[in-house]
Parts: sequence; structure tokens; C-alpha cells
Amino acid sequence: MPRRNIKGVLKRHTAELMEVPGVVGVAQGESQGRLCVRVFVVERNPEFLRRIPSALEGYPVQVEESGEFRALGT
Amino acid sequence: MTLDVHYFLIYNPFELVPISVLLEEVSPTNDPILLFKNLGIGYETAADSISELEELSVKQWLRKNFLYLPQIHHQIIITPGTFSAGGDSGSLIVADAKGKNASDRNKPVGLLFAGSDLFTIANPIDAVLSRFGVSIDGE
Repeated sequence: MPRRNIKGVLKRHTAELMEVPGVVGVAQGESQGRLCVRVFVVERNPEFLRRIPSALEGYPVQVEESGEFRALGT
Repeated sequence: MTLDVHYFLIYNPFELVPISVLLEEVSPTNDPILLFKNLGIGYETAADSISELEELSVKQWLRKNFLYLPQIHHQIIITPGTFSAGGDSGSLIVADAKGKNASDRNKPVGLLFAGSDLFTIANPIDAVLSRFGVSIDGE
């Protein structure tokens, strides 16, 4: 059961998650009615997934394939 | 529900460098039934689903100029990715609640600014209107 605020958890771990190759986004999410850390990856590559923890400070980590985020100005 | 801090992206048209602008005290939109992107030229694309993300962080926004935006708070995320394409930034996203009150039809919910092959991301419209102190007239 997580004891810490999820915003604080994201603040502490977002930078390290972003350093993982293939990770393009991190967000607060919800899974089965529970708060979770949502990690967006370019593709579901086993090499990327292996480096992403399954939980952070009690919060489950949900990995989702998103492709690369980009501004849509042009 | 009200959030404390939000960011809204605007773009320098000459350098295409995102600029973060602080937003305060905006409320999330209500659940829309069906979303459309309105480019102002009569072209519309329907969305499959919409949800709201808090504390979203993204990187690799620009292909040439790598940029890491540490935090974008409370954004709207939409599927599918084909809902948007290059050049769609600034498009108004509206909800069409057909069969309900007329006031719910074509209700603005977000301003499109980014996306990927699988998602579209928009600023909640209330945040945009609040930031600039403007409103939308008409039905």
C-alpha cells in the first residue's frame, strides 16, 4: 500500500524513467481504480521493458506504447 | 475538482520553440460523448476515447531540436493517433453530445497541440480561456 503522495513519487522518479531508452512520457494514471505511474514507451521492446520497474514506492507502473510524442505545428 | 498549477504551450512561429506559460486554477472538462477536431475549414475527425492525465511529462517534442519539458499538468489525451496530424496544433476539439441538450452540442473541450502515432494531446479549453481571459461566443 503506497504511503507517499503520487505527485511526490513522480517528482522523484520522472527524470530517471525518462533516461531509460524508449521512454517518451511519464504521467499519473489510474489502473483498476488505483493510482498508478503511467509510462509511455515508443514501442513495447523487451529491452526497454526490462529497465522499467514494475512498481515505484508502492504504486504499480503501467507501461503503454505511445509512439514518439511531437508537437503538431508543422 | 481543481488543480493547482498547469502549463499551456504556445509556439514561437519563427523558431518553433515551445514556451511554458503558467496557468492557475482550472477545472477539468466534463466527460464528452464524442469528440471532433474542428480545423475551421469544415474538416472533422472523430475520436475513440478521451481521458485526462495529471502530471504528464514528455520528451522529444521536436525532431531536430531535442527538448525535454519537465512537467505539463493536467492534459487531455485522446485516441486514436489518427485523430491528429502535423499542422493540427491549435485546432479546437469539440464534444458532440447528440440527443442531449442543444447547449452540449459542439461544446469546446480542448486545444490540440501535440500527439504521437497512437495518441493526441490537448490543453483543456478552460485552462486556455482562463489564461487569456477570453470566452467563446455562440452555440
